[in-house]
Amino acid sequence: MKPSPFNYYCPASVDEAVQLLSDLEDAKILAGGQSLIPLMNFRLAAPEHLIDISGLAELSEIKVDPDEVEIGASVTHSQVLQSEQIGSELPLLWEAEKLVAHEVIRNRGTLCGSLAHADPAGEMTAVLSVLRGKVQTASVSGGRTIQAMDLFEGPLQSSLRDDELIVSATFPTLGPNAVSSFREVARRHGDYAVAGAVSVVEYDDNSLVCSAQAAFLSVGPVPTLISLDDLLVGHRIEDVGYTEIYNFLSSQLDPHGDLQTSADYRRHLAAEMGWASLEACT
Amino acid sequence: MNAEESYEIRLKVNGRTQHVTAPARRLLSDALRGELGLTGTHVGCEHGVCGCCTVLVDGAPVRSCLTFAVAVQDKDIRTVEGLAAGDGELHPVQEAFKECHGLQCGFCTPGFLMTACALIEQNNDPTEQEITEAIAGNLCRCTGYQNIRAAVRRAAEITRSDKR
Repeated sequence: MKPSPFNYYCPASVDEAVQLLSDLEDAKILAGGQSLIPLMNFRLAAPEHLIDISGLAELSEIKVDPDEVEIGASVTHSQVLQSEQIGSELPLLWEAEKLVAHEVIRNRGTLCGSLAHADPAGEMTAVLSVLRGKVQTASVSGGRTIQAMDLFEGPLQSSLRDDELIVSATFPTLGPNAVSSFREVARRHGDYAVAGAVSVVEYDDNSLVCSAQAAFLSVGPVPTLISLDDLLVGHRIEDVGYTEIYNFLSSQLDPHGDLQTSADYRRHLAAEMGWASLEACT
Repeated sequence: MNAEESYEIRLKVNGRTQHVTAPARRLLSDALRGELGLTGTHVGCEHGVCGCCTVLVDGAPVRSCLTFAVAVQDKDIRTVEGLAAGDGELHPVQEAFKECHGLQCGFCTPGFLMTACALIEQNNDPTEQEITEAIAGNLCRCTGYQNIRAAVRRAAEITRSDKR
């Protein structure tokens, strides 16, 4: 199908973009469009105005510091994967990016766009959640910082106001004693994950767990964050073992069933992915 | 909304800059086919799943059905029509798809050719894994993919021998 009519704007700066966003009724930001345009082609979305920020140089930066990685709103998934610095400072982001759709989609789709899209099946929403990252926004009334846990409100619903755009996303890097891993199951490579998990585990000097967090995708209206601290702190993951971890995760997860799979099978898969990602952190 | 506004859109396709007058909602795939008559780019699913409409924008394969024409002005767009040389000599990927029977009905072929072309221009000695990964976003309902993978392998081989 074809999208319904809209007016197109190509602002020269973020200031101009937020002014347009504030002045126009029913306007949407267009970055890579790889989630928005399919919705428009299906007429599930029909904004009257599109404001294209893909060409804004001020949003195209990738900043890699020892403590955090900040990614501008026009940076594509492919550009994240081309940044060797990200690969060495935050390999988890690379691991997750490789699971985002296909290369052809990653060539236009943006990381911040997938956060704004707030799809609970999205890999980036899960990574931002487990790392307790944040996004910076801009609007005519000023910018703010939104923590990951406050950004996602429901399926395809974020806490962004209508007059607000994401300027960048910040992912904290992991310390030398932390390990991370991402595991998901999709019907076909590149499809939306039926279930997936991303884990971050920190160890003390005796190689015992001092913190263990997992975020799950495709199991609820928003990325589901589960702390395994009570179960794992002071222990080794392999000593606690599969059965206890699987049972704990199953008891914490309450996924939905849909055309692809039943709720029970999705719970099983998610708990398996949770175990697999934790086991990969040993 | 009132009467739909038209936009003057500059498109640089296969090295030639052309002007198109179209509404903002014109997808690149439709602008190529409808306005410019370049019907080599096929339109399958129109939501980014099938890969038939894949073209190169600044050398990178993208879905032309998930791209607005108005948003890629002044970018270098390459379509399947831009693969063969002016004298009709086939591009290595075209030669290889022909040689290896990498197509049957041909509907998906333009997308595969452009995807393979981008891969081989970046890396003329791809591994099996890299080939599979590169074409994973394109659907073919005839060939079963084995001949397509063989064709991509062969295209890389031709490219390497051309360079020698």
